[in-house]
Amino acid sequence: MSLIGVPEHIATTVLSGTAGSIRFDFPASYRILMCDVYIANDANDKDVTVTLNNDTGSNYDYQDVSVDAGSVSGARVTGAAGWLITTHEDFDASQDYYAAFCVAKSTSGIDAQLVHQISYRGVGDEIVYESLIGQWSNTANLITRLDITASSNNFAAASAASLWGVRL
Amino acid sequence: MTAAAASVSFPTIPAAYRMFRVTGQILNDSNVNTVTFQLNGDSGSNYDNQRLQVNATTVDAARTTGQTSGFIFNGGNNIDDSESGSFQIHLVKQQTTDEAIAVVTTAYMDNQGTSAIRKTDYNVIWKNTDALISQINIIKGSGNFAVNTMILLEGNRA
Repeated sequence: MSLIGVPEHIATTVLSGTAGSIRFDFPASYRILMCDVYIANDANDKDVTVTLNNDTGSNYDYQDVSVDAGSVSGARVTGAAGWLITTHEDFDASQDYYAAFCVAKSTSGIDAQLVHQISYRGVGDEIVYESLIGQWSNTANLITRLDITASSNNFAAASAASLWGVRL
Repeated sequence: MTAAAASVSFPTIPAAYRMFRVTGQILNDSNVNTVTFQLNGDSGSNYDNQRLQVNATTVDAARTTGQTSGFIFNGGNNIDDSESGSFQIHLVKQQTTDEAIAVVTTAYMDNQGTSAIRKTDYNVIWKNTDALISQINIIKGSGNFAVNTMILLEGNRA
């Protein structure tokens, strides 16, 4: 049964062992995607990247803002191979990481857009706020695949992601 | 949306709903203008807006109080003609004696993609403490939201 306009749980992945990425495949009828990501800690630093439709071309722009203690900074990246949701700095070893983001693409022929609603992590005794928005300029196709990838080292066991979608 | 329209309204929301999430992708027509929201049809000067905007490495902030709406795309982040922008609003009003509080995050491309992407956040306070939220309107300043604009409203009951 298709639930038009109602968020549906697409899938949840909880890693039972280390892995380099978490992948979701789903029908093109989902036009709003909501994802919660928890990255469990291990001994390795890592960056986290989100890509759509296995597109690793230079099609991703993003604008970041972060607050680290009393310092506020912004960063813009264009023509990247994915949305780096750890733009401020990589995810430090032995720290947990949580992110929630939304991706919208209502129809083919327009850009998909990312709203990275919340992201924070502890760095030692510190806590860092980071938020990011992005645009995927591959306009040809609707979204049918989303990958969350550790660009260096693997995600630890117990890392998890849940994906929800809204059909049109 | 299957037809262009100047606003999207979610009317007759039961009073049991106290927390909301509004998610959308706005497809614009040829009019460069604002996108705002009003609660319960209140167009009085009851909305305070605090903005945080990031344009590459430039971070700026602005506070505008006593506005007639809550801001989504406004001022320095109007959606330009034929461009799209996405947003998410978290909104709460738990009881009648409290103000409503909204956290707004937006993504948009400036100037039809010839300039790079910007990020704008708003915190919005709705100072009308009389009523619980029964209506949410998303409003285009001029012109219309284009076909295929989509806006999703979710709510949690008290």
